[in-house]
Amino acid sequence: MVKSTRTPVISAEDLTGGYGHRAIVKNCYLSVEEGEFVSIIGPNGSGKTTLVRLLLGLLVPFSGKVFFRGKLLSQIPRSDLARQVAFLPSSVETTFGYKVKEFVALGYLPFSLPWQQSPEEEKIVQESLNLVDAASLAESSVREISEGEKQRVFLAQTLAQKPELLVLDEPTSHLDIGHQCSVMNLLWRLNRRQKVTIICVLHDLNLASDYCDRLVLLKEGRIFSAGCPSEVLRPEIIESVYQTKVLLSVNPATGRPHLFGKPEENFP
Amino acid sequence: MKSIVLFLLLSICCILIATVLGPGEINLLNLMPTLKTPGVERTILLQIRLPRVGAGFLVGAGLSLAGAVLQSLLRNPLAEGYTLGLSGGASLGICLGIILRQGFLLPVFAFSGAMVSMVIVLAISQRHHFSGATLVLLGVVLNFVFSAFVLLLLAVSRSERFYQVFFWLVGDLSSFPELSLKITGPVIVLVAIYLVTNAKVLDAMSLGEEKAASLGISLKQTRQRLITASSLLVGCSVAVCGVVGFVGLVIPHLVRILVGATHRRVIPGCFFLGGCFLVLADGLARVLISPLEIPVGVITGFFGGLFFLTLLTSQRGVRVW
Repeated sequence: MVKSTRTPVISAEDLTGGYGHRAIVKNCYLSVEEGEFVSIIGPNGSGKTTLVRLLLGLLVPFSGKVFFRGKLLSQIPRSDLARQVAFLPSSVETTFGYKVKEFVALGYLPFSLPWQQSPEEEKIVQESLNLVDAASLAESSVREISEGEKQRVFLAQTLAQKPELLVLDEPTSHLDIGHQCSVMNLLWRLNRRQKVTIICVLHDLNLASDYCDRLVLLKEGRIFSAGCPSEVLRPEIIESVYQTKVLLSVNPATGRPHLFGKPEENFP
Repeated sequence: MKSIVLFLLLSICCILIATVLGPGEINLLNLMPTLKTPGVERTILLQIRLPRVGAGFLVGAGLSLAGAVLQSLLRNPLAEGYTLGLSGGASLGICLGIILRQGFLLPVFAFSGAMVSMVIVLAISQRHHFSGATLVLLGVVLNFVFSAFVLLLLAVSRSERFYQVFFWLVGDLSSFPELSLKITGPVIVLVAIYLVTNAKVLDAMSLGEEKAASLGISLKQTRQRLITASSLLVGCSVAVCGVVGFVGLVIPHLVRILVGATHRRVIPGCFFLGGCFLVLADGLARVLISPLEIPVGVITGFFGGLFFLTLLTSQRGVRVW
């Protein structure tokens, strides 16, 4: 064990939890340090989203503990937590046609009273929209913008929450490669420049490899492997978790490992 | 702010127009003189017309607000007291109250009925992840069950108060009990004030529960409060004039088109526009086949039903599921 002098931002001890009586996440130990960019990866149904929900206190664990900056998570009021941690779920509802700027302003809710509209709010909305390069969308309706734009606006909303820890559940799903990269670049900039700690569930192993400091690989609700990309993305590990043959290479742009699926033997 | 002033002016106009609508020699021009000179016309105005308009305004406001709250809470543009079966529950409560001869407690019976039905809707929809039209289907089923119970009550009690019960099922402002209004009026206004001061909470809830929780909303507490608020609004409205359908569906949509989706503007908008709508609909009910009257529920049912149909079939604008 490497001795750390700082308290981790968030840590889980022997965390087990799920829905009803069925445990989805089992006996997880996890600790995320200040300023890290961590990705949770794993096959479908391996418990990535459940783990995130447990870490955020959105789901009460069956057993085990979650600490936020050394304090037991269940003892921190939701409104206090919301001033430090922002979460982007895999789906945000856009049933009603809020204007983008009104939608983003909701991220500032933890800092304002439920009926108040402060002048700072406007400033922060503007800043958040600038950060995600969506200032031109301010007056549009959230129902009438494209998927890629929506994802950026959702991100702007979490940024208006001025988070120290940002947790995202598959922020790049349903996006094309251009939008995928722009979202990941943005997260990377936030992490490096604004020193936001990021935990991000990702489906795409190569994106995770390129951008993240540390990967946490789940298999059937347990942490199968954790460490820097080159430690986790090894063919023997991936093959035993995903039950498929892969080839390892390197992304020439980042020097990080990249994996390729291997077609069947007699594929043309 | 500007929109609130406009809504206020509109409300005053609607109330004035509605007050002079109906049989009698009153019109906008002789309104003031009539009010000054004692006589039959003055009595009609002060003791029949004005209370009726006031009741209509509050009921319309209450039902529209309930619609806005339910739509945000369930993230479903088809939700409202009528389509979800809250009104059905409230009217069953009223029937029980009438048969047990609890005139004074009618609003409480109505509230309890609405609350029971709201809790059922929420429990079932959360367990089975109902959304969109399925949720409304659940409301239809509840309405069926409640009206079966009402018929059962009528059959068993052999109540001579059959007509009285019928009146609650249709939605009619022609002979509302003033006692009920004195209790329910303040309740509707208080709930409206509570909702305005919590507008951002409604905004947050409409983003989905996980997002709301991560914005610092305590879900359990908020859900309980909003369930109580909508049940109070629907229960109080039904206690005044029976089941008036679709107001809670039409008005919030109209308001969102006019002032946008933020609840800081939607809530006052629903209050005023909902009030105006029902006051005018009731005025229409009085004059359409004068000297006879149509129950106002028939008028809102007709227009609201058509609106509901357009929502269901619309390609653009309001996407339903």
